[in-house]
Amino acid sequence: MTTRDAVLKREAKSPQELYEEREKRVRDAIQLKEPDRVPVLLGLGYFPARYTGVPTSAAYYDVAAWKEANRKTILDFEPDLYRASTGANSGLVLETLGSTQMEWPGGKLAANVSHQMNEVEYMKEDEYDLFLSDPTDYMLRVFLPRQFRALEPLAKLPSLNLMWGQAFATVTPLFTTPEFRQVAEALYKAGREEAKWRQAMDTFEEEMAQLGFPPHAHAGGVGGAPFDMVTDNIRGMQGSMIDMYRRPEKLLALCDKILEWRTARAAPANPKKRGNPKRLFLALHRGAAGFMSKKQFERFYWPGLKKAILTSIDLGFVPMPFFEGRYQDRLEYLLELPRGKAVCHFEHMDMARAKEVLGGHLCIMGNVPSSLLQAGSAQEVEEYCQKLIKVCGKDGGFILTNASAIDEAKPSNVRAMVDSVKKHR
Amino acid sequence: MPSALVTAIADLQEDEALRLAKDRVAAGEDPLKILQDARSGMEIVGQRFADATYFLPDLVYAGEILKGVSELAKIPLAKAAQDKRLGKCIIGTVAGDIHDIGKNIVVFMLDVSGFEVYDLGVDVPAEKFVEKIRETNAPVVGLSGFLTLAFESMRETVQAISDAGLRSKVKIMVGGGQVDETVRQYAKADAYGTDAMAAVKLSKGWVGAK
Repeated sequence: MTTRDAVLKREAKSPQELYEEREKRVRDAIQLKEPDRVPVLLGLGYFPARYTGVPTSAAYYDVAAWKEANRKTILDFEPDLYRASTGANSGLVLETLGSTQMEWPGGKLAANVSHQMNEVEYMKEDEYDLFLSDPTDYMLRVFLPRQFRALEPLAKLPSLNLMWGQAFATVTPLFTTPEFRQVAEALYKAGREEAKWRQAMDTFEEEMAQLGFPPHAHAGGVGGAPFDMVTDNIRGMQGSMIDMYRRPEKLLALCDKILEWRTARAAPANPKKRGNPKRLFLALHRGAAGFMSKKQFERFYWPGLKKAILTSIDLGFVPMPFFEGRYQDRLEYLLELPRGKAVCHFEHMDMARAKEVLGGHLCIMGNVPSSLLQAGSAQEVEEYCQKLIKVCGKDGGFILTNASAIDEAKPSNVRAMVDSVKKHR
Repeated sequence: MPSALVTAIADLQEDEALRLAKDRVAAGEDPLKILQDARSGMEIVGQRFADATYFLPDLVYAGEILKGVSELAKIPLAKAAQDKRLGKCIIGTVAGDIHDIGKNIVVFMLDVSGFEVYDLGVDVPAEKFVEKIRETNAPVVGLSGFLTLAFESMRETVQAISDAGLRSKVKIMVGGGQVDETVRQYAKADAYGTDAMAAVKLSKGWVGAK
């Protein structure tokens, strides 16, 4: 029996009806109306690997196996929304380009672990002006050669910003050198593989929609906090924190520029696409209490994040920032966002207090701990969820979900979490 | 009355701290004494971090200032640490996990608080912890991890320490990302902490320091 038939047989409703029912439940929660019951989002991460018995490296090397693992997990657990890790690049592409920022299972890492990020300082402390004055030149000749080993030769390119007349012809002998021929080969190889990979992977959501399951959200809009871009991808943690003291104006100027570039490039939400409203996923990192003070948050983090969220809302999106870490003392800032237009996903949070502060203003989402899902009992998970449903679910505006990664969670505990919304009111 | 250098470092006044250090070096003062003051300044930074006056960026910046002062004094920091008196700690990120931000902060804070820290790095197999305990007789072991797979590695590491007959000789703390009481119990560790000062407090308690 095909999976579609299995779903049809099991449910009295058609997949399309189920899809709409789930979307409505989520929409009601976001718009602060009381849904028929609390919706549940399952953030899958690498859990499908453990659950179905494939290595996590399948997410990077075996599209068919990874899609099947995710499909099986979603069909078995039946969450209202799912977040699948199907956005990763092909491992072959990462290998070919020589990625220095990320390690992935089946690459340098063992085949059964999650990916991990290296802390990098691609831009040095004295390069702000270089970047700000000519970002494309900086990216091409400085940043990319540091970021990907296969692109190191790009550092030898001359500046390409004065290429009128026949000037570019004089550059071409460079491309006959062995190292540039290697660059060309690597790009060809990576490009071919990436196109194939994306084409195969990107059908996943539509396939799941046909089975009645809407996805959580997409990347896009104006994105998350500009400060995170700087600290995660450009200056590294150490560098960006020292910049807060030694060159705060430059740091803020770069944050502003990133926001400006992203805003200029952001496309409005496409109403013809599936799912309504158009939900946006934003991963936030270094604005948490563990990373900066409230004063630093106010100066370096919140203004950029707020502007990004507001602009995305104007473009027709519903941003759903994931507040990883501790934001307990920063809840009040979120009242500056327009009512019912965003969803806040919390990790470590006193959810009762979050409800108290944000209730009636923004939908909140959270926060079954990874530790509980991995090391606790099903009964403990159910009790935790029951309490959340009772306190946060009151009058709507709440989505139940795992606090963070559940890569190693016990399936019976994940089951207890997803089923809790059907048992408790 | 603390010296001006202690206060400058404690207040994160980089230019002032470097100027004071330079003057004292020029005046022919014993560089070790200068560095001792710098460390005292760092201890105050640590206390302010503990009571949430300071946060991570302040700690990182203080570390930079300390580095600058030690360069001026022409003494590597490790050398100035010879008068360590509190005790030994072994710290590492457990097997399978390569995250080091949290671990490095813990190492740094233990170090400036007067501990002799053996930093085993990241992705540390259980046997390495066991070997290091045997070699150093350190009474405190800290297991760090950010990923959920680290919960299992922590448990295996504690088990390996038990199997080696060393469990009663050490106190074990766990920390990082999502580590909480549930994980502590699962790993059978003695305590868990949510920040670097918790590690310092626990370690001090275990070695009987104030």
